[in-house]
Amino acid sequence: MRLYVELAKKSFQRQVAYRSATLAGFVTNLFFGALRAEVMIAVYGMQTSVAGYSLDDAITYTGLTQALIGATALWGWYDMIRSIKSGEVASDLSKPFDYYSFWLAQDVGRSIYQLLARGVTMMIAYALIFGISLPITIEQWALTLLSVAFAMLIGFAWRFLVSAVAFWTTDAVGFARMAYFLVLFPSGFLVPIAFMPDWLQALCRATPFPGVVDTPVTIYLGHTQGVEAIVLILIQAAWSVVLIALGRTVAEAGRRKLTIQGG
Amino acid sequence: MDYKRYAIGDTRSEIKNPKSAIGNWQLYRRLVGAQVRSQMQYRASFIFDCIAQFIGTIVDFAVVAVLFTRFPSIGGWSLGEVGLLYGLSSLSFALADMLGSGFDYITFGATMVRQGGFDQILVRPVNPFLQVLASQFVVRRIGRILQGALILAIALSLIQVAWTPLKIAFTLVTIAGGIVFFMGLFIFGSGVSFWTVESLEAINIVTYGGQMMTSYPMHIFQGWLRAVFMFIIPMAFVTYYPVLWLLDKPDPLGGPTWLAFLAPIVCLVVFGAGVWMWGFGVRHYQSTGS
Repeated sequence: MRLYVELAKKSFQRQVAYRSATLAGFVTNLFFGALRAEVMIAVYGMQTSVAGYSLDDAITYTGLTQALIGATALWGWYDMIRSIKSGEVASDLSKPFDYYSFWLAQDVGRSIYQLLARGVTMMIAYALIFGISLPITIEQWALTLLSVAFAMLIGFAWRFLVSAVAFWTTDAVGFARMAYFLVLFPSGFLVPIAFMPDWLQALCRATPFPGVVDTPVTIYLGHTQGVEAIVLILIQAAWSVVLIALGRTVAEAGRRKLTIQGG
Repeated sequence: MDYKRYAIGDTRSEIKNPKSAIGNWQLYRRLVGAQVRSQMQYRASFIFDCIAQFIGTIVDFAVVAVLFTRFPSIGGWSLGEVGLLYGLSSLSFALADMLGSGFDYITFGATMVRQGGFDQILVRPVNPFLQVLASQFVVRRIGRILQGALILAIALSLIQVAWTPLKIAFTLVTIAGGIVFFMGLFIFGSGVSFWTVESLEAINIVTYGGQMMTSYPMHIFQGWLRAVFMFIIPMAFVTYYPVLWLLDKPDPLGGPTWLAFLAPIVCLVVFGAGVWMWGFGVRHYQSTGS
């Protein structure tokens, strides 16, 4: 266990080194957040509430979704694919780590740093620029944090599963690009799921992806509370288990393929 | 790619004067042809990418469509009108992306500058600009281009425009202007990447942010943002003013109608600024002897 904590710590420290990249990423995210907030202000016009979202909620939504980008690596993550393509995976597999936990531990380090450096900072910036809604009760805060943790986990589990395709094909990057892109709409990142027509909402909820963005956002905004919120978090947990199990199975098959080829 | 041996060994298809304008064009065609052939080799991957691009554009438009199910208009503009902005912007950007990907900060900044691939380019007796331009002709963008065109077509079917030959010609000029504009931004970015690569993600603000902004009627944005996108990086001229003219709409910000005709000039100026920045970066790179 201590080994994994060390891995996470090292990963966190690596992130700290890329300070200007993190800053550039933050500025970019903030800019796009401001753009999206402006679009929201414009479309709301005189309306005060749409699909249960007040204008404040809508603006906070743009901030929250932008804040989660770094932590959930929404735009993609190719480290594992690169390591498989380069053959580094052979040495990774021979280390005294469970392959899945090896990557998970590193991602935990990375995403906690991103959550703090680009997530929390984003919300602070938003609070200063726009004024945002905040969770009222301690219960809300706790449930939000728990939901965010699961969001990061689902995000990782999906990325690992997708990356494992690299064991079989040389164009894993192209496949991964599409697979990561597929997350954006059903996660509620591009537009709130509540805004969508019922049939589209149902389609999105049939995927694991609302758990990556929409669930923590609705809990944060207080649109789902108490028992409902806990049910949503349980759904997040269930999807995490499914995706982790799938990821582990696929990676194991990949490892076996690699070993047979003498790689 | 050893073009020189190719040109010498095969006298039938030798490029007579690689330094002339025609020579440059022939060389560009040859380099791009090779690119396209090699990309098409991976047929499954290519089709796969095209489907991905298709889904991408549908998703983009789905976001706008969902917004319109909840809101009657965006800044007073209907779905068709916003679709027109979005279609023009998307089509121009996709075409610019296909042509100018060689300059994008990941390809150029990371591979050429940081890893030193640019030295090889400088050594060859061919215009480095041309080499970089031809280095990434991304065929799979065809998907995005077609979908941009599709959305443009749908948008046009939803709105009333008093079409004249002038307006049709102007629409084509607007698209061409958009291509030139976005390419100018890419090229500018590549110039900047000679100095810094790590912070370069911020250039997405300008390229992708620009594409996003030009998809909405510009008057919905607040003063400071509008000022940036009218005077510092003049996005407003890529789609907003041309479309105002095409739709015979008065500018809510009070601008005169002839601003639309300034658009092609503005786009060329931006392109020129990009090329200048590129040249500046190349000279700096050579003088520091890296």
